[in-house]
Formats: sequence, C-alpha cells, structure tokens
Amino acid sequence: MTKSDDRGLDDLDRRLLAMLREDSRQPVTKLAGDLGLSRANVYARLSRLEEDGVIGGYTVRLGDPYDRRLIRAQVMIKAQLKHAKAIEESLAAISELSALHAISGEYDLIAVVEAETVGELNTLIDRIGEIEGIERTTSSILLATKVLR
Amino acid sequence: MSLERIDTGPGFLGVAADAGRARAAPRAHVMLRLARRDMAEAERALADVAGLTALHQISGDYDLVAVVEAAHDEALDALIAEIARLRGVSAALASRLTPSASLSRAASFAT
Repeated sequence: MTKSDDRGLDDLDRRLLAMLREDSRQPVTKLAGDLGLSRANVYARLSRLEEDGVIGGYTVRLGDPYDRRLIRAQVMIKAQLKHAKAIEESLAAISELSALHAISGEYDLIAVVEAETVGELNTLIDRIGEIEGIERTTSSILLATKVLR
Repeated sequence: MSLERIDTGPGFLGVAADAGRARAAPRAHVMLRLARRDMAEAERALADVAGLTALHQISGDYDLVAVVEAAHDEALDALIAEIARLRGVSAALASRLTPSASLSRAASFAT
C-alpha cells in the first residue's frame, strides 16, 4: 500500500503526474510499463485525476516558431457513400492533414489541414477536391482559437 | 473569462477530444454566423456555455466554429439549440461527430 495525502494522491499518482509533466504525449502503454501498472489501471488513474481536477488539461508547448506560422483550415467534405473508405484512406495519406473526423449532417467529413502559405493551402484543398467520390468541399481558414478546453 | 487569442498549434475539437480518449460523450461541430455588432457579446456567451470545448474564429460564410459535448444525445440537442438561440447568432449549421472514424495526429496520448 502506498500512502495517500490529503488530496487522495498516492505515490504512483505523483509519479504519473511527474511523467506527464515531462512529456504528456507518452503513450499509456509506456506510462504503464514504467510504473509497473496495467494500462487499465493507468487509464483509471487518469480519469480520476481529471475528474478530481488534479489534471486540468493537457497542453502543447510550442518550441519551434514554425508551428505558429502554419495556416490551418477546416475542410468540410460531402462524400459519396460508396467511396467512403477509399476517400478516408486517400485523406489519411495526406501528410498536411492534422485531423479527420466523420460527421453526420450536411457534410460527411471534416478534415483539418495545415500549410505554410496560402498558395500551398489552396493546392492542398484542390487536391482534396479532386479525390474520387468527393462531391464538394467547403473550406474555412482557422483565424483564431478563442476557447480550447 | 477573457477571450484572448490562444496561439496553440493543433487543437481543434478540445483537449479531451483531440487526445483521442473520447469516452462515449456525444459531440457536435456547430458553425455559427453572427451579426457583426453582436460578435463580442456572442463570443463571451459561448465561452460561458459549460459543454463547449472549443471555439474558433473562421473565414468564409460562417464566423465561428463551436465544438460542444454533452452526456447524452438529448442533452446535446438541447445544447445545440441553446447556442443557436444566443443573441447575435443569425445562422447555425450543426454536424454530429461520429466517433467511429476519427483520426487526430494532434493526439496527446497515442495509445
């Protein structure tokens, strides 16, 4: 048994927090291995720490000024159902794509893409529009993020 | 709360959603068109909405993207209706996120 302090944290919780402070992108598998715990145990600890507000969130620390210069856009995609799988594979192969989410509603997919210049962004959006089975796309440049939590 | 611009890189849906550890929380992506004069007020009201996890200003036909989550589908519907009714919001286009197919290279935890 490890000792808990008044916030209900035991030694393993504190070691877990220390490891996340060092690098919050470590896979749970690695955290579990280093702590000698199961993955399920680490997930349970993370959930509890998040629910108790000990972990308020995970943030990105940008080291390279390059990241701040990237232009990001969201591309809403209307796709033909029969091509859905091929489209997702083609999109996933685009290295400038940073996220892809399936949605239901007027559009079927949202892709988030990053480019260094408006010209490159334009080319990238054209490339997406040319993928077979994509009926139409609507793109918006992400001008600013006001809330992220 | 203040609405300073956050200069982060890859965040899009919100901290937990981008981390890919989405529990079953239903989420929606809602594009909003605002009356220009009510923009600041609408943004503040949105930031106060409890289920909101991300708010981005965008170019194009719509002005903002709000990402919201709720405990279950009915609560999500109510939340979407709530933000669509906010003062200053003139049009809203809501899309539910389907958890089956999500790829996020911005993941904080790549399990």
